[in-house]
Amino acid sequence: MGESLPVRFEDVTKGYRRGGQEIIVLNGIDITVNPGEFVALMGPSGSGKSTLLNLAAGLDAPTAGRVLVGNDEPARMSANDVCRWRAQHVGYIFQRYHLLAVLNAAQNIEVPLLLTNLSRREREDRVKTTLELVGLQERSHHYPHMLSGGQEQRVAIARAIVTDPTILLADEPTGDLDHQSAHEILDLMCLLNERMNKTILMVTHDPKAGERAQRLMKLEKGFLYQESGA
Amino acid sequence: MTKMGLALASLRHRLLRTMLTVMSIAVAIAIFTATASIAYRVKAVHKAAQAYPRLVTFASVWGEDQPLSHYREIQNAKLFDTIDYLRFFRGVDDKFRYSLRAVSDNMPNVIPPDYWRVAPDVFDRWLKDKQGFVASPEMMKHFGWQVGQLATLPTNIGPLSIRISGVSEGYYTFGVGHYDLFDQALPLAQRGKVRNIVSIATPEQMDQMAAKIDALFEKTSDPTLTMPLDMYHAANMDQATMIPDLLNNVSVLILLVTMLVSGSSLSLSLRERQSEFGSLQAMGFTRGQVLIQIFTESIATNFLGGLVGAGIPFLLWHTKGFSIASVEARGLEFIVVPPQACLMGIGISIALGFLVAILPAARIVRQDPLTNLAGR
Repeated sequence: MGESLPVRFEDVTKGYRRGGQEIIVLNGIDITVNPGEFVALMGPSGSGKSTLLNLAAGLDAPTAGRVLVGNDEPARMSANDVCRWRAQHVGYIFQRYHLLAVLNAAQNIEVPLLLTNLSRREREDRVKTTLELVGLQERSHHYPHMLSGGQEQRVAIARAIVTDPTILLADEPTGDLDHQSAHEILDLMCLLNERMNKTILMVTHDPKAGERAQRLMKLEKGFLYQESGA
Repeated sequence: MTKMGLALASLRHRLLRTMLTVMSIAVAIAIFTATASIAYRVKAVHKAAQAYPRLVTFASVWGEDQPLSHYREIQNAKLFDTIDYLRFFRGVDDKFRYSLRAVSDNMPNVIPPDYWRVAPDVFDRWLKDKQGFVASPEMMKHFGWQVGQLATLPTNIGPLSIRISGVSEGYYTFGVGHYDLFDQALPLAQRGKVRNIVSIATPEQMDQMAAKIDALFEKTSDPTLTMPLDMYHAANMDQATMIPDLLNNVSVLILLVTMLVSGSSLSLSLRERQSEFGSLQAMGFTRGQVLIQIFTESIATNFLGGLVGAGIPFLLWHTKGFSIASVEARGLEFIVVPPQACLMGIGISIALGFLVAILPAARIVRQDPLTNLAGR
């Protein structure tokens, strides 16, 4: 099992230039997510939640401040290095799943493993185990259009964890799901956190989803204004 | 699954679009391969003509026959050790086109049997029988002939009574008979006239000998024009190469149009799947790895089109063979589809696959993962 690492946002500011105007999305954010911790980020649209997640994944770079995952600072890495780093350390779960429509569930889960040195047999074993973990072993050959939203998100979660990443980043993973499916997905994420000690940073609009996390942070207009939980 | 499998999965999934793209590429490459084959054959015939140093004598008015007496006079002048002549006729069946070559019994000394694709023993048999005729397999099959049988062959100079001496090897549809056999079938006024006289000469003396032949008839009512055979072929080539040149231009245009079709199809497909590439990038695929995915997909589509496009003319030629009598009459004999032309067609299809992917692929990898994920 991959080690869990802390995620630290040190005085992070992020701004964009749009229409000649500087828009500050994050303003001097200081957050530390401890190893093995499940943290939820809440806030209205445009509050900077997803931007924070993207910074942690190395998909974006801060305008000022530092984002550290363990001792790694993805923003300082070259384009190729940050891709390799992400393949090794980050599992990303999207609100809209972003499964590849041309691949079945098992193949979708296998995609990140193509970037590893695992043999075909090892990859197949890993996919099988992960499918069992998310409870979709019977659906391994089903294509995304044959799956329900909840099942698609399970496949997306399986794809995110199959490489045994250091951190798991989830951008509104229950945003497109009905109540029951959302509940099941949150159960699964709690299970990953508790059993596999995964560090999870989850962005959500749903207060009930936020309550499932060990710690809840609220963002508004780029500022961290409330923190609750352990 | 492999990275290659990942790249090809999209092609399988969008089968109709893939097949349409493959078909358009196949048509273009088939045309290209066919024209490249014609060009190849033209060059090969030209090369073959150069391998046999001969002189051709015409009536000085281009294309007109000259009296056979010229041949006799040249022979009597003892300018050369061997002398030979050749004349073309054609079949009259519109549905089955064939050409006929009238050659003298000295022809094997001038043009070896392998040039005609006739086995030496068949040629020997033919030499002994002035009514003998060596037919191609296609003619044998079409007319239902057997070796040794007497047959009547419809030609543009009337029906010929022939004895089938043997079968040549090859796909083309021409037969070889003795000059006397054909000459007897001509109206009296045309007998003894030859379209050209082909003589063996030492290559270094060809110009000198050509001048000597023409000098023989300079003061007569039938002056001649003599030239090396390869020059004669070259003159024919100039006309014959116009066809492949024209076709080449057309095929280049078709390749360009296909490139646009293939490129726009790929561009559309990539744009639709922009978020897929974004998710690959988010998973950790580098720009290079995403580029390889796109190029693999594009090259595989074009390669498949190239394979089909080059394969169709190749298989057609190998299973059926095709011949154009009018082209044969110019000395091109038959059209072959050489492996080189097919390989060139496939190579071009691969190059097209690479070229059309450059811009759309660059557009995808230039974007950051978040923009691709958002499909903007």
